[in-house]
Amino acid sequence: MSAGFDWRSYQRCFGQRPRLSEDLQAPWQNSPAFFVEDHQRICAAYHDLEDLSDWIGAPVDEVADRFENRDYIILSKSNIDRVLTDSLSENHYFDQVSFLKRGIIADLNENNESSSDANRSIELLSSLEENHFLFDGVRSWWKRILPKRFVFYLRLTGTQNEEALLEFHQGILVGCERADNLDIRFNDRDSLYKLENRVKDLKRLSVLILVVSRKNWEMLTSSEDPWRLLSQQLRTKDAQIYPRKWSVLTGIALRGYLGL
Amino acid sequence: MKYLVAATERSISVSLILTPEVGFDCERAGLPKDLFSKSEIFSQLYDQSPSLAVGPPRTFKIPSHFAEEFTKRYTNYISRFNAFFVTLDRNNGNLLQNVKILLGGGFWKYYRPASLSTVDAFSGNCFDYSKNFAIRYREEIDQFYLQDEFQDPDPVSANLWKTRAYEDANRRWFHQCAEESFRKRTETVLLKRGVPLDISQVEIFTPELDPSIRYSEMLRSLGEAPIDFFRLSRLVDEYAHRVSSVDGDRAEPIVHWSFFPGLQKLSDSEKQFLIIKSMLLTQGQGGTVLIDVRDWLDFSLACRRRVMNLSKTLSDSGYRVFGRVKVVTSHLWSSSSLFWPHVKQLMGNEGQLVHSLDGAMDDPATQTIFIDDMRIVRFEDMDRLQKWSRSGKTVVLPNGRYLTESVKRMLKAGVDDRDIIPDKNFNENDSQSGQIYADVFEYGAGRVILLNIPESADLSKTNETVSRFVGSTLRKSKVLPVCRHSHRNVTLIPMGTPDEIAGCDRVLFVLNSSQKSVNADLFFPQQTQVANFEVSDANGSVKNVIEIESNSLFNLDVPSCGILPIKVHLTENVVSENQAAESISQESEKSKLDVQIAELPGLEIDMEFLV
Repeated sequence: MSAGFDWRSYQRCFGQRPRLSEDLQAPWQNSPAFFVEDHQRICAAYHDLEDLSDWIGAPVDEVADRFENRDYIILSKSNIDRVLTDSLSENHYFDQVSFLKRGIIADLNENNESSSDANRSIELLSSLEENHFLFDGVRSWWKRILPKRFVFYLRLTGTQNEEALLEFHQGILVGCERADNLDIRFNDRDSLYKLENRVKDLKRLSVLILVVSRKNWEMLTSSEDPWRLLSQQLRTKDAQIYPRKWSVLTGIALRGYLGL
Repeated sequence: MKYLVAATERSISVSLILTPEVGFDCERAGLPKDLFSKSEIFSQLYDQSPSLAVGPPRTFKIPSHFAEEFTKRYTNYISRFNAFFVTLDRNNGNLLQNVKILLGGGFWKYYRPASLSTVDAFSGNCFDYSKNFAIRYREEIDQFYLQDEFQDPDPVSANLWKTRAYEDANRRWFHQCAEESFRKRTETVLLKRGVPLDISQVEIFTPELDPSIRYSEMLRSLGEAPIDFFRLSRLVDEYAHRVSSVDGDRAEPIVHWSFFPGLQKLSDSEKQFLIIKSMLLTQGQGGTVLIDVRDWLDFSLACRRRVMNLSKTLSDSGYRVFGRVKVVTSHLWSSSSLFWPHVKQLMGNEGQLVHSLDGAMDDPATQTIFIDDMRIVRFEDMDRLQKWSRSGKTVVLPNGRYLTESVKRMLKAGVDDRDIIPDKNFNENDSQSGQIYADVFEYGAGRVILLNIPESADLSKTNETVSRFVGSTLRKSKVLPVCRHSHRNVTLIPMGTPDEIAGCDRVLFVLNSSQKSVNADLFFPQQTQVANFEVSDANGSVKNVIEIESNSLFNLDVPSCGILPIKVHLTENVVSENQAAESISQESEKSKLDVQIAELPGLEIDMEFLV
């Protein structure tokens, strides 16, 4: 079965919040400046708060001197192009970006083993990688006990409800669909049981449902110990999971309290 | 079908975009998966790397419009739509009444190399270098140069036009013709068997997937940071400068915001700025902005109301951006290096780049036409330009190898009227000294200026000289910007109603694309009345002007990501007074410098050196 990918629903559930006006006033030195070099000349530059376009065409050495006291990463154009072309075989955009990060770090490791600049770049790039706790969990040893292919239905309640139907195959996200496209409506009269059956009928796969308020979901996403918090929320009924099997609850608690 | 029935029942008008476009939530731009398994269908850049559309749902290689398999499948797909519309017309003709077909330009503008477009979004050549292209190109070029005009003075002369020296110009011409032919072919197939369809040619821009933003987008994705706001803002300006057309009829611009992850992460004020800016620039040319309804509803009610009211005011009053100076290029998506950078710098949003000579001449706002250096000028073109210039207009073209022999003869016949531009700023000289000079041919109230750049001219000085030449030509032609400003982060969008093309009333939108508030000086060529411009409220009524000030230099505080509308009333003889504006501008610069020097005690500056 081929799964589509509605990145918009995905983004609304798993994307980061937009930056606030206060963020624009933050010191711009806080985040790293990115450069792409081609034949020792800068051909592209990016910083989230600063316009670096004036640096395009500058020699790499000049940039290195000027940004000596700031975090910066200089990447090679040929490497980026190669990794980008290789990433085309990945399943969807978010996997392609992940592949790109890994590919660039691998290149830096391979080509500049002794360079301190390269080590610093690797350190910076690695620190930028933020995986969502849910995907980390599904990708962990859980994938051995979870069904080979299953559907995860996430519903975020609040002033504006968000729904996403995620399809996993051996721990990897292979699809994300708009739940309203599948004519699934969840209201007070519908039980989670009915909902599960409807999803099962449509997708012909095992289903795991999580219903949580947008506020609690954001707390989970920004928490340093999300699984422990989720376990607590499930206990206090701030979040609902279905099927509410002891194995599922134990798994979450074990991961939350013991880090398993 | 069900959708059309439901829309008709609810009296909703439907616009269908049938051409392939990137960034519409569809994987591989909605093209069939099996097509992508064939390696020969993809386009290639100059370095044999593939052209890519980088973004959700999945990065993909862009197919070549020259690939036989792609063209065949595309024609079949459009034919099926034709069959569908024929059936619909026979059985439920009323369903078609609310349907409008929008035809975009396909993938043509995405063949630009990302590495060359980082400085200027349209640097370099936007060519497809795949094998599919090469075969078609040779066939078409051979056919094109069979025309009598290129066999002048003898048939062997045609071969000269096919040599390597003309390769860039030929490729540009061919890509532009192929794009236009793609649009026309689509329209012809759709209209087969007399289907009564309302078809509009449009140009759809998706800034988030533009090649010029590819590297910064990739770098941003590494840190999951927001998209490069500054670059995106400049890109919208570049789109607005380029006017696409089919058979001389303007293709309305549509800026499509996909709200990919990078854009979602911008602050609300930044997003609002981009939406309003793109709306002003597209609506000022009869176009529109396209946003998914979910993204639109994410904006605050106050923002949505502001955008709607502004849009309503502009459309009710018929405000337009006037492209008073047009640069006619051979290919809209490739760089235009001789005149365009200077026209853009001097005229701002009143300068436009077009590929259709008819389109440029038919626009009543056009006062001066510059012909790009790589555009082949034929006798027919020159004849029409000459006639067009008689009504007090100016045409500027470079003298060089891209003029056909008959055009050269035509100009030579008028060379007795030669009159070097009497402008002290322009470094004129005669043809013997190796310096750049201009021949002026008066035709009625207008004139044609031939710019001669000898091959021995000093290239390092050419750019500067051409810049002075463009400035001097525009001054002589009495075509000058409504207003100038002193801050690099400020953009001005002057608009007027069609009745006011030659009039004195304008609406000026002052935009600050930086994240800090700026203090900018606005220089008008003369005493100008400036007032607040109020957009219509929900009831459609326009509030009265509340404050009027008269001056030629105004100082304005523009908040971060702010857009300030101003109503401007210029008195007569706008242009001749421009010198005064320039002197005010220089004085202001000087006073700024004085302030800076005063703030740095002990600093001694050689003023002569600075001047």
